[in-house]
Amino acid sequence: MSSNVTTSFTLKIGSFGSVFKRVSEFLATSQGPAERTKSAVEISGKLAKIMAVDSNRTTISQAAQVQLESDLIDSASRIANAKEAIKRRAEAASEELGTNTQSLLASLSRGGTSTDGTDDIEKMSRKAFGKLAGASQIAPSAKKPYQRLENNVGQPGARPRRRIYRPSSEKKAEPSITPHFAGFEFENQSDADWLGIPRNKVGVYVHAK
Amino acid sequence: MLCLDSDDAGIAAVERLCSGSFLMNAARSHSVQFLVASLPSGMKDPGDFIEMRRSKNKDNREIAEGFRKDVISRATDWSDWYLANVLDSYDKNAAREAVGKL
Repeated sequence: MSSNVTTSFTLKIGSFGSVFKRVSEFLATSQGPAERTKSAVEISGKLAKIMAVDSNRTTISQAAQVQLESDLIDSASRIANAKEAIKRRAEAASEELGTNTQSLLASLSRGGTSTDGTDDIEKMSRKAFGKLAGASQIAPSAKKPYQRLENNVGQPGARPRRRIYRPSSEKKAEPSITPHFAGFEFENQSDADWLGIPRNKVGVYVHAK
Repeated sequence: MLCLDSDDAGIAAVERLCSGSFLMNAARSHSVQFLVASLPSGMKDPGDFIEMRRSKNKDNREIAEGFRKDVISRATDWSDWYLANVLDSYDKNAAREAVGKL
């Protein structure tokens, strides 16, 4: 029975296989899975009568009718799945084409040939590119290199982001530069005093500290 | 209501409409029901129906009433019409021809 609907055969119009195929295609196109199953039960009864005539019998067995019903649902489901897959693929291809075309047009309008926009920052300022391309288009290409690297994490072939360990002690206030002078008293409080240079002219000669 | 010519071209046109997804999508999105009206045998189009009734000295009101009774009231749902048409296309003498690769 299933061999009657194999696509490698050319079915003559009016044959049982042709009728079965047209019914399957109709169920696949016009109805959802639940309705398809319900309709298949009703139609398989009519197809069973045709099948009986086709095989020169008055009736066919109950088992054959159940098998016919199962084949009809299977065939319709396969056709529906194939159509859905083609539809999804076409949508994906359309989206991809649209994105590439948009990117290429944006690049060409800037006078470049690159479609990925990675060298836009080097070619023009961010403000100029923003004016030209608009805020939505500047976002991906105007990011700084480390931001782009962060976005690539998780994508195939991307380098994992390196974490820099910062101990908490680094965040504390810096210690005195000369702790070893603590407790001493000096006659000259600074080098300028020791050299005899007036304090108001220190900046002219030398920077203290 | 679809009432195309009852010749091969008209039937093929209705079949083409039914086999695609147009009618189903339109029926679902707009909540409408599509019916297929078939003309009595021997009449190609509604014009033939009117001419035939007029030749029998029927006035316009009677012709309209007859059309409503014999054509419109007997219209069937498009999916039922299509399936019945497909099943009626079975020809016992049509044998399967295997062409190309097996």
